[in-house]
Order: sequence, then structure tokens, then C-alpha cells
Amino acid sequence: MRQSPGVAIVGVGATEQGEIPNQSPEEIAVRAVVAALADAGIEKSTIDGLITCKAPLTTHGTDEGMGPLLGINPAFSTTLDYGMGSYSLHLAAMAIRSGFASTILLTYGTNARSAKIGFSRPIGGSNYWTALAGFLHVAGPAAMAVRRHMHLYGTTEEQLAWVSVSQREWAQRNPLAVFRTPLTVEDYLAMPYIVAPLRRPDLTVISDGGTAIIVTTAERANDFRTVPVHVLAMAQQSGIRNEQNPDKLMRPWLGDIASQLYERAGFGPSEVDIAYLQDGTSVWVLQMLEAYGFCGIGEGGPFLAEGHTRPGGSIPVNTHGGQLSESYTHNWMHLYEAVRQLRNECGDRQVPGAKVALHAQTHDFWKGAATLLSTNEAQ
Amino acid sequence: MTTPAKPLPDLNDSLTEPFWAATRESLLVVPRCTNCDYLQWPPEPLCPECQHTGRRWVEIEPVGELWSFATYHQALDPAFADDIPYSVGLVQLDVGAKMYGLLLNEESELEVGQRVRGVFEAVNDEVTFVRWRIDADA
Repeated sequence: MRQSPGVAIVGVGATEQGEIPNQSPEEIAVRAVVAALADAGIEKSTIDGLITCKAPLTTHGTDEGMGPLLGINPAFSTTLDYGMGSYSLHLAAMAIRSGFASTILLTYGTNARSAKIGFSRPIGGSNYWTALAGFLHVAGPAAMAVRRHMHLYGTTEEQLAWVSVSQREWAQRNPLAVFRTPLTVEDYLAMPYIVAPLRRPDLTVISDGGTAIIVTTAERANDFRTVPVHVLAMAQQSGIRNEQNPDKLMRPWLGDIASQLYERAGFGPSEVDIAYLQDGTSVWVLQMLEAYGFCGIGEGGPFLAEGHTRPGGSIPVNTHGGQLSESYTHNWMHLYEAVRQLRNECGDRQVPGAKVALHAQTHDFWKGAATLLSTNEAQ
Repeated sequence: MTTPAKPLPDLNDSLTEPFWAATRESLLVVPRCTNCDYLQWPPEPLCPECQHTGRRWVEIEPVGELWSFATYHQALDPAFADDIPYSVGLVQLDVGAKMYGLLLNEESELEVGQRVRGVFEAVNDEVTFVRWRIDADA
């Protein structure tokens, strides 16, 4: 039995991705908002809720920083420190269903590249101990996670390469993408390690960019200019005991998100046409392909090498190029792309007949969230 | 350009001071809850299981299994530039907890699942780190 949250995305907007010098994260976010309002075909006065997301590792992007630039006093406003696409979307659904607001604007902007934000810091927990061992940057724990996967299941570096190679193939069809030069498995294997067994293409682009999303009730959704993209089901699961968990690296709680999500949707992975798997590292894609049931646990390597996630494959993944090729915007551009694919607006890279999208993210070793989306409310 | 100094533990931190006092004597100790006996690693100011604040430090055998490892080929921390390439291991201790530490073996010698043993390496008069090495006798 479907437990639909009864909300829909009716507007999306994005800035260019890459380098946007001399603009604050808030200014970048506002430019995305202007695009989203135009997409939805509404004036800003229609907005009665605002959920902003901080720019990663900064204090920028709060609702109080955005309010004066947007010139609105929404009834409901708040900020998520790690909002990213899923958490902001889910909170918007909760606020709408609770009656706090009817049409909510979600914002995100970062100038991480222009501001030269340093990512070589302990990531993912146990920071006191890991810093002493020179264990910095998300590449460290991600390398451990994939090494463990290789040990348990025989996954190879060639198979892992297909995450980055496939997404680069998609990015070549996306004018917004930062990295569009061709990448083959041979190219990948010839590159030096950064943190073995990971190479540069296994790690996120760092870029500037902004995204904005407009969410409203399913009942109102037809009053907007766009074809509404309905939220069919949402789920979250944390693993915030972090280092105390028996298997931090493999993030077994991903499977708990998937089972809650599919139960609430009333269907399983065979109904999903396209998948947006947040890819701060390629390893997250490997893990999520398995956790969300596109292949069995441990089968992610061969599944990738068979080309299922590539253009023309059975389950296209990150059709904009993702964080590995398109831009840094932490899952927000995944949501932007998912909506536009479902609205059949993606030109050269459009997946024909894509009806159901999975949008899934994780906050490295802390927690995760996922959403099923479709233009067909009764899917 | 001089290489920046590597990070050192704060020996005045009461939460971890007993750990560093023990490593100076080439001993590995971990805290257990005095109420429920839960092994608290990494150390926290109170017990994650029962929220009791009492803890006692107990000596353990510095042996375990290499759960996984990562090998740095770029100095993401410039203080470790002279050590490139270096491997960091996550060691599943036989007593149950997992501990991070530098591995003393070459990358080509390492495999997930190997038995490893702690080695105590003094970096100055006050600080001794626990490094890990493949346990040839295991």
C-alpha cells in the first residue's frame, strides 16, 4: 500500500557550474532561485516556505542570509547544515503535509572552488585519531571501503573504473559539465593513485554552482507551468553511531533505506528507469547499486563492467555526469537532472521513456536518504 | 619550503591521557565502562551504551586483523609528504574494537584479513604511537 507524501516538484533552476568568481554562495543561490521561479512560472510572492542549505564547510547560505537577498518573509523558514537535495526535499514534504507552508523554495549555492575551500581534513568520524595517522580527506575512508569490497567480492580496479567512465560518457552530452573530455578504462588505469586504490576520476569535482527547487502539494501541482514531478516515496536511515558500528565502511544501513523506500512506494527496483546516486566518490555508486537492488550484494563490479549504467544501459546512472564529471553540488544537481529527465527535457542525453527516478544520497559515513520520483502520481 | 610538523596528541586531554601514558610503556589500553563493561573505542566522555561516566582502562594484547587499508600516494596532509606512499590501516582488534594506525609494511605486502601486531614507536620523550605490522608469527 502506497504511503505517498503527496507533494510534487514544480520548478527547478541552476546556475552554470565550474568557476563563478567574485560571487558569494548566497548570490549564486539567488541566481538559481530566479531560474526556478521562471521555470515554475510563478512570482516570488507565491513562496510561503524557505529551506536553505549551507554551503559545505562554511557558515554561508542560512535562511537569514538569504532572506534579505530574496526579499521575502515566508511563513516557514529554516536552514539545514547538511541539507543537500534529499534532506531539504524531505523536510519540505514534512512541512507541507504539516500545514506550515504550501509552496516551499529549496536553495543551495557554493563557491567552494573560487574560495579554495580545503578538503584535506579528517572526514567521516573519529577525527582525533585519524588525523594523527595522516588519514585525511574522504578519499581515505572511501579507499578503505573499496579495498574491503575487493577483498570480500573480488571487485577489480577495472570494474570500479566503469563508474567514472560511464559518467564521463554522460557528461560529454551535458553542456553544464566541468569535465567533458573522453575517459576510457585504459586512460583511467594509466592515471596515478591519489589514495590507492582510488584515482582522480574516483573523486568529486570541486566547483562553484547553485541549484533551487520548488515543492508544492500534489493538489496544487497542476496550477504551475511545468509538468509536475511527484514524490512517490521517501526514506532515511542514519548510522550516526559511526565508528562504533560493526561495519562502518560498507554502510549496511543503505539497505535499510532501500527496504523502507520500496515498501512505501509499493514497488521495487525493477520499476526504476534512471538512478541518481550521489557520488562524492565512485565507491558510493558501487555500494548504492547493490543496496538499492539493481544487482546483488557484491555484484556491483561485474554489473558496472557490463555497462548497465552507461548511455543505452538498463539502468542509466547519473546521466548528467554526477559529481565525478559535472559539478560539486552535492546531490542538488542530481535532483535537478532527475526532474528534467522525467520531464523529457534532456536533449542528447534524454533517456527515452524514463518514468521513475531514484534519487539517493549519503552523508559519507553518517546517514543517507532516498526518494522515488515520477511524473505519474499513480505509478 | 619546510615540511610542516605532523600532528601530535594533546597529552593534557584527560579523556585520552591514560592511552598515551600506557603507550610510553609499550602497552595498549582501552577504556571499559565500570557499570556495563562496554568497550569504549574510540573513547567518549561517557558510555555510549548506558551513559554512565565511570571508566577503567584495561590492558589488551595489541593484536588483530587488518580490516582494510588505504595507501596515500599524494600528500593530502603536507606534514606526511616525506612518508609518501604510506598506508593507514583499520585494525579489528581481537577484543572487538577497531583502531586506525599507520602500517609499517610496504603496500605490496599488505592484504585485507592479515594478522597484524602493534608496534610502539616513540616520536619524542612524551609521545609514543602505536603502529601496526603484519604478524609473521601468527
